Amino acid sequence: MLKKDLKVIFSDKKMLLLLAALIIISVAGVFLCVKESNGPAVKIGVSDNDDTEYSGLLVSYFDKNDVFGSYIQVVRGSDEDMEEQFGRGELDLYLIIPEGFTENLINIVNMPIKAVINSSDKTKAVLLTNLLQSYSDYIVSVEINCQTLYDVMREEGFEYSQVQDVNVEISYDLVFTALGKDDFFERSYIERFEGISLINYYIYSGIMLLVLYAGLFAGLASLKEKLGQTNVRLVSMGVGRAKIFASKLLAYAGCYIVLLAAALLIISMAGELNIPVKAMLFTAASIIVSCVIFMLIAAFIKSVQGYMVLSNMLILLTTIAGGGIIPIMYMPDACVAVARFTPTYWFIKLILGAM
Amino acid sequence: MNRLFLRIKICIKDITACICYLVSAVVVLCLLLGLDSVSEERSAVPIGLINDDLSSESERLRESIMNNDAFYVYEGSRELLNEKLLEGYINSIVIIKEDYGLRIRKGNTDEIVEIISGEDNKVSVVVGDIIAGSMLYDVCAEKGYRLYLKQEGNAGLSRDEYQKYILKTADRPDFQFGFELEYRDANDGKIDETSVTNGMIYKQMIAGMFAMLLSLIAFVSCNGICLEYEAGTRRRLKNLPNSKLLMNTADFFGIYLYTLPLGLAGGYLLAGLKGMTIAAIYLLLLCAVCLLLSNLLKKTDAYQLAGAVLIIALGVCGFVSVFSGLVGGSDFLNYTPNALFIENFIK
Repeated sequence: MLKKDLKVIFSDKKMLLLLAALIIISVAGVFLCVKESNGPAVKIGVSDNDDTEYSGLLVSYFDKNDVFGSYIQVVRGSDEDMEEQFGRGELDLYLIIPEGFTENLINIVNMPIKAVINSSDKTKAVLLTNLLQSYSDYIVSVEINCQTLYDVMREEGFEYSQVQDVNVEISYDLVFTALGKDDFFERSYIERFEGISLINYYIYSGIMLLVLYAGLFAGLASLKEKLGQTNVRLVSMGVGRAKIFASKLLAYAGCYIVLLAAALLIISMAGELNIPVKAMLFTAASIIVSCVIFMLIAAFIKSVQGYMVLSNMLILLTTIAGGGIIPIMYMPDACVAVARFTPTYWFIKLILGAM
Repeated sequence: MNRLFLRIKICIKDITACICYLVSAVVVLCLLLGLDSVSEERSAVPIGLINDDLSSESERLRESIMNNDAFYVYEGSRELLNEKLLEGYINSIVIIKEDYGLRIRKGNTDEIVEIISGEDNKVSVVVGDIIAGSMLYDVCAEKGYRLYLKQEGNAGLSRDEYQKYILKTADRPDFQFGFELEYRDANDGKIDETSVTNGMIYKQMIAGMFAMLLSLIAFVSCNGICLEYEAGTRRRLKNLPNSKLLMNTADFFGIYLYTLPLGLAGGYLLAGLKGMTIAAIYLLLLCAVCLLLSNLLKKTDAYQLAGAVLIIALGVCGFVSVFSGLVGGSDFLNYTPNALFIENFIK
C-alpha cells in the first residue's frame, strides 16, 4: 500500500519538476537574504558649527554608543554637505549643531539642534526619533538642574562671577554624569535564547509555514482520492480505512521530511543558519502532525474549493496567532494564550531555546 | 457581461467554500483589527519592574518608568518575572536596588539599578539608556544640591526646599529642551507630515498580514479555474464560439468582484478610504497573477504548490522590507508587491 502511494507521488513528473524548481528558488532566496543582511545600517551626518569639546561629547553619544556603535556610522561635514548627502539619500539623519550652542546651553539659552530625519524608511525613522528623545531627556535633566542652582544662587545674593563659575562647573559635571550613565547599572545575564536576527526569525517562521503547507498537500491528495471514489474501491477490495490513512500519511509525511531535511541540511552546512538537531526532529514531528490534521480536515469536507479555502486560511491564522509574524513578546496577552495551541509558537520557541 | 455573472455565480454556488471563506476571513480580519487596536501600547518594549527601595527617589523612578511610552511594564515577584523572562514574554527585568535613594543622596550612583536580560541582548542596553534619562533627574539634582552646600555663605536650604526650586524650574515651558525635528522624504525632498510613533512598526506588520490575507483570498478564489481544467469544463468551453480573451477577462473580473467586498471592508476598517483603494489595487494585481498561474498550471496540486510558495515569498519579502534598512537587506525587497502595499498602506 505504502509502495503504491509512493508510486503515485513520484509518477507526477510535472509536479516533481515544479517542486524541484521551487526548492531551488527558495534556497537561493534564503542565501540571498542572509548574505545581504551583513552591512551597516544607519548613517548619521553631523555639522558641528560649535566645534567645542562639549559639542564633541554630545556627538560621541551617537558614535560611541554601545548598542548603536556597530550599526551607526557618523559622518561630519558642513551644513551644505549634509543637505547634499541627505538629498542623495545617503543619510538617515543629520544634525546641525548651531554656533554658540555650548555657550548658550551653559547660559541657559535654548538654542535647539536641528535634526532632519529621512522618513522614507519608517522603521529607521521610529528608531531615530526614540534615540533623539532619550538624548533630549538627558539634556533636559542637565539644563533644569543647572538653571536651578543658578536661580538659587542669584536669589541668595551670590556674586555674579561666582554664580557663573559654579554654573560652568556644574554644567560640565552633569554632562559627564549623563555620558557616564552606563555606570548606574549592574548588568546580569541569564542563560536564555538570544542573538537571533530578524531575518533568521522570519526564515524560521517560513520553515513552519512550509511544514503546515506540507500537511495541506497531504490533505489535498487524500481529498482528491476520496472524491474520485478511490477509497471506496480500496475498501471494497478489503483494505481497511485506517490502513489507507496510515499509508498515505507515511508516504506524504516521509517525502516531505526528506525534502525539508535536505533543504535545511544544505542551509546549515553552508553555515548560513544554525538549525539544531532538536529543532530538526521537532520539524519532522510537526510534519507528521500537520499531515494528520489536514488529512482529518479533508475527511470531513466534500469540496476541493472548500478545503483549499479553509486550510489556507487556517495556516494564515495559525501563523499570525502563533507569533510567526509579530514576535510573541509584542503580542497582546489574549493572543499569547491562543498562541500556545499553535505549532508556530512551539517551533520558534524550540529553535530559540536550543540556540 | 453574462459570463462575468456566471463566474460570480460559480464562486458563490459552492456553499462550503463560501462559508469557509467568509468565516475564516472574518476571523483573520478580527484578529488583525484586535492587533491594530493595541498597536501603540504593544509596540513598547515589555519589561519587568521590581522596586526594592522605599525612598521617594525610587518611587519617582518607578512612576517615570511606568509612564514611559517606550515600555510595557509588568510588576510582580522576582519568581514571576524571572519566569516571564525565561519564557520570552519580557525583554528584561529592571530592579531598583534596596539602597537606591540613599546612595543617590550620598553621591554614590554606581550600579544602583540592576538589569537582568539574556546575553547579547542589545534592546536591554536601550532599556538602560531610556531609564538613565529618568534617573539623571535625581542624580543631577543631588549633584547640584551638594555643590550648592559647598558654597560659602549659602542660606542652608534643606534638600526638600531645594527640590521645590527644581520643580519650579521644571514647570517652566522654556526649559523643555527639544530638537528642532523635521521629517523629510529623501526621495522627493518633501516634508513628511505623517506622525512617527512607535506603533508605526506594528502597523506595518499588520498591513503585511492584511496583504497576505488578500493574496490568499485571490489565490483560493482562482483555484476554481484549475478545478474546471481538471473536470474538462474548460476544454468544452473552448469549443464554444467565444474568444479566449473574452472568457479570461470575464473570469478575471468575476473573481475580482467576488473578492473585492472583503478587501474593501478590511481596507476601510484598517486604514479608511485610502486603505480601500490600496486593497482594491493589490487585489487587482494578485487576481491577475493567480489567474495566470491557474491557466498555466491547470492542476490543483501544482497551482496550490506554486501559489503557496508565491504567497510565502511575497509575505516574507514584505515583512523583511520593514526592517531591511536596519538589517542591510537588499533594495529589491522594497519593490516587491507586499512591500509597496505596506509602504502605501501606513502612509
